[in-house]
Amino acid sequence: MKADIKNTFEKIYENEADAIFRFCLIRVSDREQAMDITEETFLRLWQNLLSGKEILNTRAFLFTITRNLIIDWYRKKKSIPFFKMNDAIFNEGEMGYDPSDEMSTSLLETKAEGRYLLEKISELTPSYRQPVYLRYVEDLSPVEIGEILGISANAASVRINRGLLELKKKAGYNDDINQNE
Amino acid sequence: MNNMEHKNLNNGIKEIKKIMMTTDEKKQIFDRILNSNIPQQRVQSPWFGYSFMLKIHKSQLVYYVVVPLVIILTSSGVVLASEKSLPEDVLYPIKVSVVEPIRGAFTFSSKSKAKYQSNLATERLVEAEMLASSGKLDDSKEKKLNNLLEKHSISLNKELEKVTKENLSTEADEIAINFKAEMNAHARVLNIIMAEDNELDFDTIDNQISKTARSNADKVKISIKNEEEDDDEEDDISDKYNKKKDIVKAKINSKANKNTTTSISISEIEDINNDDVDQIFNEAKNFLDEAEKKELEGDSAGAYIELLNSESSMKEDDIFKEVKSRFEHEDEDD
Repeated sequence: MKADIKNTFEKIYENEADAIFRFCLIRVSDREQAMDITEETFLRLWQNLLSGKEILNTRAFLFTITRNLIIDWYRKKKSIPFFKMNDAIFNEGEMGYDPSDEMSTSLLETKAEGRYLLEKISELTPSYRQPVYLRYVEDLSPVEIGEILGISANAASVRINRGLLELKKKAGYNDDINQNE
Repeated sequence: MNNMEHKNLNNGIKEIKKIMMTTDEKKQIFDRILNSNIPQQRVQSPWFGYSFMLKIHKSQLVYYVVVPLVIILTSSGVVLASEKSLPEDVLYPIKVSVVEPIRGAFTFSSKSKAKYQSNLATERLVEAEMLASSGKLDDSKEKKLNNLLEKHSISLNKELEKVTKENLSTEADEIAINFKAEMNAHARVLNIIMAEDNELDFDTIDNQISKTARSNADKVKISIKNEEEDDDEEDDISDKYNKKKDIVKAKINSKANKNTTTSISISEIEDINNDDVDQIFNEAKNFLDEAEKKELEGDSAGAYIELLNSESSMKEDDIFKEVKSRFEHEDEDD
């Protein structure tokens, strides 16, 4: 029984660990911290699998936990009032890609087009950043994105589309980005 | 241009996707997770109580339920503790400035308010007696109690006016008579206690509180007088007089009989207080005689007032005896 669970977990870990790590690293700009959050996320998954809890959508589950852990990390790190936290996360942390940050070695290693895209995503309106990133980089569906962000699938779609339009303008990708979907 | 940009975007995504952990890092995390000790069943934390408090705190339940509950419990404890406090105690200001006014606010009719103020005035005199009996009634406490007594008497008179205006003059009379009796009886007791403590002659003692009590008793008497004399309905007063007269007369007669049977034992004890009892009782009889005289003269209002005075003196006699015996028992216990 436990062997089955272990196999299931191993498959999920193999497929999703990098996506989760990437999502963390881009937001916290700290490789060690990103690894810690990734580990904690998969530990929660492992606990859930062992306790026999049903997980309907593993990817949405993992990204939701990661997002919450990152929010917790910001709370602890900044000790800022709760009402200002969202601003802090969205303005600094959500796409906290900062080429000058010595800790974000992996990000610095990313080549020019990748860095450029991340930079443009980080310049988007805060509420569009995550939907655009999760849709185009991590290939999540609007339903999954809605579940992760705690909004409806329709609202997620609207944010993705508006974010896309904004990204086109900022990055100069024009209409060709549609072909990428 | 477009193809170029499209390519750039795909490249950008590809490059972002290259951000990943090393194989070693990945393996280390995987191993740590699989080797972690995860309890299969929930075990109640030894910090359950603490966690529970934390939950209450986090859910803000503490602000809406727990804190008010603590305040209520604490304040009710303070209220209870302040009940028996005396002017020398720390809780006394809470009693007279918080608890009593709040209780007063929960009495709604003028009649209840008047009774409440009368009771408070009596309470102040009882406090003075308790302090005096333990030799702690100094000038500052005397002044404090005196001011409070004055305040209660003023409030009482105001409420009595309202009661009379509400056509409840009989009820107003009752309250006024009781107040007058209480004030005079306790003033007398207070003087006796102070005379005994200071080894002075009873007649030479006249402290401020007793004076105020007596003067307030007189003020209430005057207010009855004014109300009754202004009353044009002579028949009503005459009715009230006749109803009360028989009751008061019966009381005086029964008391006179009692005094006769116990006169031997009383006279055997050399006690200044027995003179007081006789004095009050004689006053009651004199007021009754006066009432009957005025009745014959056709002065119904005057007769009724005298009858009320007689009734008041009878009550004063009862209260005086009761308070006196209480203090005597306390002395014996000591």
